Amino acid sequence: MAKNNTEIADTVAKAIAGNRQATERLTDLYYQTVFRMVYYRTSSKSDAEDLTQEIFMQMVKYLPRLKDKNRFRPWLFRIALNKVYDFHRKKQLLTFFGSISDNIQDEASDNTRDQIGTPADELMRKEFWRQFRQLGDSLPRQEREVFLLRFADEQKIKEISLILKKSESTVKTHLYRALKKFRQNSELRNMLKGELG
Amino acid sequence: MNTAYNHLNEDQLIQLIIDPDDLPHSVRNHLDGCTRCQTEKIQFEQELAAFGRMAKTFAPTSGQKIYPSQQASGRFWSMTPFLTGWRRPILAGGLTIILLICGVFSWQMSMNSSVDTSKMPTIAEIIDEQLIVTDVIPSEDSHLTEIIQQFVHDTNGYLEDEFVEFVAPFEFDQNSV
Repeated sequence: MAKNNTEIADTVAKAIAGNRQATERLTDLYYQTVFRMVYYRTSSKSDAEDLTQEIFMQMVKYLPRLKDKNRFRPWLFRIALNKVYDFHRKKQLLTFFGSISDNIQDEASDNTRDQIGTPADELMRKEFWRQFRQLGDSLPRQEREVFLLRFADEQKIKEISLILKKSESTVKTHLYRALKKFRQNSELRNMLKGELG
Repeated sequence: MNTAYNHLNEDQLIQLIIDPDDLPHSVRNHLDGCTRCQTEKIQFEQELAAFGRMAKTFAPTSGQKIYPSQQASGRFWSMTPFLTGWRRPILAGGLTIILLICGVFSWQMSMNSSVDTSKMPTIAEIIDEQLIVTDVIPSEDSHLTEIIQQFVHDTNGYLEDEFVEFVAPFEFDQNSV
């Protein structure tokens, strides 16, 4: 893992110096991770694809400003989160003026069309995203963000504190509250237990 | 030793998941020897791991990946796929010529318009001229003034008094002396 981190830091240093291949390597490494991260927060494949493109455009643009090459991952996630927040702000504004309808349910079912699986798998997938959204809705923004970063995006506490620019103790407090609510969500927990067999 | 008292409660279990180092030493010691608490902790960790794994599995994969470097360099030309190779300089040259022609044409137009406007009468002058014309037209329409004008134009200035004397002779008033 340490070697992997060193390799990534070297690649980041080369990308900062203007090496195109290094930039493409970083894009390869993090593209799907960032795409998934955006998808968890937008519930729309097409929006997640567009935003991921924009995030990597910004990455290339602002990479020379990155001071610590060892902090590339939290830096990239911070760009991604800011993009997602911007997206939601614009969407809220457009929904308010009636330009678009806020129909996540249709979007989510549309996303599953390209997934191949048995009807039982499809049912499970739909149920999981329903529960996922329900949990997200039940949590305040900070708690939701910390929970998703920790357990869906698999970030460590220290990385989360860098991404959100909050102290580690604040992150832990938010995570504690979120986990407490997660423990109370018996429906989701039963589904997860069923998955474990 | 592992009594119900010492078992990890809900809060301690959550803290254990967040950061085991935040728990007191006694609680950690209990966990090392308590299979029940260990099982509970493992189950909770597995639930959270399953949450992350299912999210990853059920999330769609991105169908398209355009490298930012490619996107930045070819954004305009990707919109115009027919403009490749030798067509690009021709298009650029054509656009430049069109811009030059437009520039010269607009410059000439502006020069012409600036000369004309300096010679053109102002609105105030036009109004004054119209007023003069309206003054003249009624005097031309009147027949009486036409006759008087004939006399005035035909005779010299000193005959005007004789004419006036003829039309309206001067009467000497003795009482006024």
